[in-house]
Amino acid sequence: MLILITRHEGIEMELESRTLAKLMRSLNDHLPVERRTLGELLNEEKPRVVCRDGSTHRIKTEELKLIEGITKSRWGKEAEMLKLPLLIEMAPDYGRSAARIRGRICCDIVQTILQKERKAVDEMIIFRPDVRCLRRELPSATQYAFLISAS
Amino acid sequence: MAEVIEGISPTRMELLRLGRRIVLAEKGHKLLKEKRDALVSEFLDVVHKVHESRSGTDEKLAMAFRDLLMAQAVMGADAVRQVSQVTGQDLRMDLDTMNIMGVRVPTITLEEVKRSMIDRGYGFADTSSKLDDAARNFEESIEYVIKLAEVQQSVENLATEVIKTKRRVNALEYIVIPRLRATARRIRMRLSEMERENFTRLKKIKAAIESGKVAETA
Repeated sequence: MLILITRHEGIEMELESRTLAKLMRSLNDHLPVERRTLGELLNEEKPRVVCRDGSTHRIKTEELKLIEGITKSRWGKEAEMLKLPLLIEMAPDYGRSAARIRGRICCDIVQTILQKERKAVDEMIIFRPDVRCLRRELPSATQYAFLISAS
Repeated sequence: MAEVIEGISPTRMELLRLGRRIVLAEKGHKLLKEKRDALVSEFLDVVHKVHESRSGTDEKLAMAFRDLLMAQAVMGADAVRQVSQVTGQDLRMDLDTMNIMGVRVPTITLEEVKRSMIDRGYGFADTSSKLDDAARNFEESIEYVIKLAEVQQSVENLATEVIKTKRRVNALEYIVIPRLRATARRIRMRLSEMERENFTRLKKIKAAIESGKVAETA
């Protein structure tokens, strides 16, 4: 009997985690299947990435040039390997409306645009007004990602 | 007071299952709330852009029509019509989409529409300078009109998604989660009631056994 209950619970938990996974998938359907590098995108006439839902997401050349302008002087060739679009990670764990930016080059770009100090080298937590400001500057080169902790 | 979900038996198993469903619903609710907030801020930004584009378009078109009217007054309406038939222009634009949190919005890139006076194809001798001004202003207004079309469509698409997400958030917040909580509360109450019943029953059985023993010994 005990074994039966455990198995049943296991199936239940699996179902629930599957439901959560489905929700997460639907929330992040707009994310690209594969992010592309700044160098690649700059060489294209129509820079775009393919999203998980099959649609295409066009990245504006002006924004790419702005990013190149910010990163080229400091990071040189390494900047060309920067994967785009930049991800604004929204997770309830950071608090309501807080977002995380990861990666040294990404943080540099965000810091330059927002004119803000940052505490960690490769991570930045920004809040709603900053997110709006960032999205206004880079509407096509940034995308929201919705995350949730495993616990 | 939220409704209780019918057909759920008051067992500990169900209570555990409900607990997990509540956690799941709360996680989903938080995430959807984040999405709704982000969508609303995107929507407000695009609405702001619509206002800017609309005022720019109105201003530019008003100037263009004023110049056209002046040109018609100077040259005559028929002459202006004749000139307009001589000139022609193909608009070349690049249509693509952007994906904002699952909302597909159009991006339109327009190739250069402004032409020099020679490219327009009409003679300078028998036309008024107001006609040149009107042509230039109309060419400039095309850019504004295209931009307005782009942001207007974006607003509509975003508004639909905001409504959809809001409905899902509200359904979770005001119906699903309260119902799950109410059901869990009902089960907890029923279980503690059953525990009390059992306790009383055991007490009574014990008392009956003890009174039976007393009777036997007597």
